[in-house]
Amino acid sequence: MAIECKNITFGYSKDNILFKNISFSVDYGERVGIVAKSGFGKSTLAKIIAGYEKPLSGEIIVDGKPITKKGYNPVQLIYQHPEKAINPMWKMEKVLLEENVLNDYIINSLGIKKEWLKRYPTELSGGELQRFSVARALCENTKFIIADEITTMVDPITQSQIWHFLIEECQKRNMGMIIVTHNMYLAEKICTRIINLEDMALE
Amino acid sequence: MNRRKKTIFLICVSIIVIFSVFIGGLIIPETALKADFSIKNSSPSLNHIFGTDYMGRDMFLRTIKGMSTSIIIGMVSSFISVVIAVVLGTVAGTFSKYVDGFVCWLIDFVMGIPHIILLILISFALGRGFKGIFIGIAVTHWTSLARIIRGEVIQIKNEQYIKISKKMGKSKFYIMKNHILPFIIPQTIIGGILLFPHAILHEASVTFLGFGLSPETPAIGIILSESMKYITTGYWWLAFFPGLVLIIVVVLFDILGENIKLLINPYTSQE
Amino acid sequence: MKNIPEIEIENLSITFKIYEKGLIQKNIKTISNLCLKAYKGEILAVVGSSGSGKSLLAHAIMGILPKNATVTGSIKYKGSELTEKRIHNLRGKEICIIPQSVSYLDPLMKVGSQVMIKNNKSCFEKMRNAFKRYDLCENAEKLYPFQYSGGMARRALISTVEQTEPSVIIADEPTPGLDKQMAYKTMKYFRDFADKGKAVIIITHDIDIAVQYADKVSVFYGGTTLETTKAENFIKGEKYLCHPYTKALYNALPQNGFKPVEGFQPSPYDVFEGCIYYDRCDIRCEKCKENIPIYNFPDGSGFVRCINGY
Repeated sequence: MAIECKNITFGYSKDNILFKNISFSVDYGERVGIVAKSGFGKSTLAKIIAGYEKPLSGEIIVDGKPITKKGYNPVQLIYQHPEKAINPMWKMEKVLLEENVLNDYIINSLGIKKEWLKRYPTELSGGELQRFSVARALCENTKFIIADEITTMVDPITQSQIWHFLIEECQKRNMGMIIVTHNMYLAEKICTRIINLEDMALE
Repeated sequence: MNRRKKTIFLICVSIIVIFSVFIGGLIIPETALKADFSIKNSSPSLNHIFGTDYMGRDMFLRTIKGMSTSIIIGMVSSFISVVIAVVLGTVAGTFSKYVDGFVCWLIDFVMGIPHIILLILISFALGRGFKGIFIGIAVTHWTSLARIIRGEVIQIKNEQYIKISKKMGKSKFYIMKNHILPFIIPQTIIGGILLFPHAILHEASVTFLGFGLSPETPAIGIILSESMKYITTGYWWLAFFPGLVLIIVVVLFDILGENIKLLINPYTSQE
Repeated sequence: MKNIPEIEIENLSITFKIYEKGLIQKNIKTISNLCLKAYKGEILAVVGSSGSGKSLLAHAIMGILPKNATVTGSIKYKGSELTEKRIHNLRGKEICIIPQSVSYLDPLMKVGSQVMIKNNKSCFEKMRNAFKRYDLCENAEKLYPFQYSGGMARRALISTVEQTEPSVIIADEPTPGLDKQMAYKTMKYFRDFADKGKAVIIITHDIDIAVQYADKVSVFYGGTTLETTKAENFIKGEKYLCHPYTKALYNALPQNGFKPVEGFQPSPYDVFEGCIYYDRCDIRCEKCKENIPIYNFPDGSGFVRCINGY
């Protein structure tokens, strides 16, 4: 098993528990959809798996080892709002150079126009920016992608473009993916397996 | 003329005026300020546009020289202030809770004491003169800028793109240099420029009160305090023109700071 | 029923003056020749690609565009021109906007008190009733925004509309991030508003959810309206839709084939002649490079901006 979530419990205090004992694992090459109703804490769980947030108890294990705090994290999270995830003072070129993913293959297959590279984030639309977020997460060392509602704020055509590329890329590199979404149609289309957190919390 | 041209025009005018006062003061020789009792206390005329004082010295030249001294003091002391503010502000924002607590306490401590009293104390303790004024102003003026920078650093540290950068394995130094510094530099420049008028006014007032520079230095505070003795005798130009020049320079610095702010701020820079 | 539309937008263009390099200014046209009509008792869903100027449209109606924007064309409210002075008086009273998310609530104020526009008895009553209607418990009015979930915040934002009696409601992205049940519930509230005789404009990406409740759909692309059509046509299927872009949008939905389209939306920085969808269209021809007229549907339900589409 490549990535394992073991008994993850999260809450803001001991009396205010958001979710309890969430356990599942995702293998390389799998695309696992995570669904639950609004307000369950899906986004928080995504952040915990990517190491942005610490759970009250439980741990995340990648390839048999807990994830280290320092260095490149092989589990990369893509956020819902790209405009917050990209430094507004950087040109787009620099955003991609930060992770060394400025190559023609990624740019072309994600539908990034060459001229966009010379622009600042405020000059691009949400859908255009999200392609950069996706490209940035696809650094060589990434083994797992966690997609937290990444296409909620973009139009269906862009959504379809982004997902087609991501799926293809994941299969090619044998990466694992965890997909958080509220759109069941989308989940059924792109996931190899779907986990309903509400059922898990009941058990 | 679009907005940006207007802004840049104002910035240029301010810089030229301030710079010419500064250079003018440096090239005026001491000999030009020799006493000439034959023309003492003459009112403004074409020969002496600001009039002359009780020793027959030309007030225009004295004022320019005095302003020049003030500008040097303003520059050096606001520069020191800015350095203190940036260092303490970033340190407070970056390191642990305790460091932050200490810096905040220090800010409150310095802010809690009225500027002028602390300034007088420091200046007096260091034996007046330039050294006392420099240190006095630098030590009292960094607080508000440090607080702003601390706030900025704390806010930007929690931005998603910084967290992502961390998860991409970037070092603290890299993040500081590439993400945080570019963000606070504009703030710092503006803060520094807006510190200037404060520094000059405080220098003038401390000197005016007799705790700052020694009476023989040509400083605006000295000129103003001297002229006070003569104001009741009707020699109005002794206080009026130097005071006016002081106000003009201060206002120009303010215009400079505010206009650069308009250019840098993304919300107003496109207008 | 040939009444005057509550909001009628004709040939609206919005141009931003920006600095290209140093002191040289240039104009970029973010919205061009946009047409839109919102009638009493109807929901108009505005859908389209991100960056096509949907939110800008809302800002233009509300008169809250930044200073470097110039507006040409006309925006009419109840048949007469909506001038800057007029919108100033109507904004928040007769024309209301419901913003996107929690971040529009003041974090330091209890939600109940910031929903009320005036601190008096009648506003309080209205707030109470609205909260009850939107399943916000009495306790909720005393909570602060950070204690709200996304769905609750959205309902609180909707309840602000009931403070006044607006005749036009504009909602900016009311459903993303909500599960299906919640999204339908939210749309139901807007349906109720429309049924009470208000004109509702919903800006949204969730086409599949919006068309279930809306009367008409307006399709935006690259800053202009390509088609306005009945919402039911989206449910009936592809062949009822006219514009190639609308069809592509329909086919890109996960439940309808999930088909991507090559290419990019032209950005406002590109200068453009003829059909804005030309590059990506599969039925394009030489004529498409010229000015494209609007073809109104005979039943008056909408129009399409395409030579071959109708």
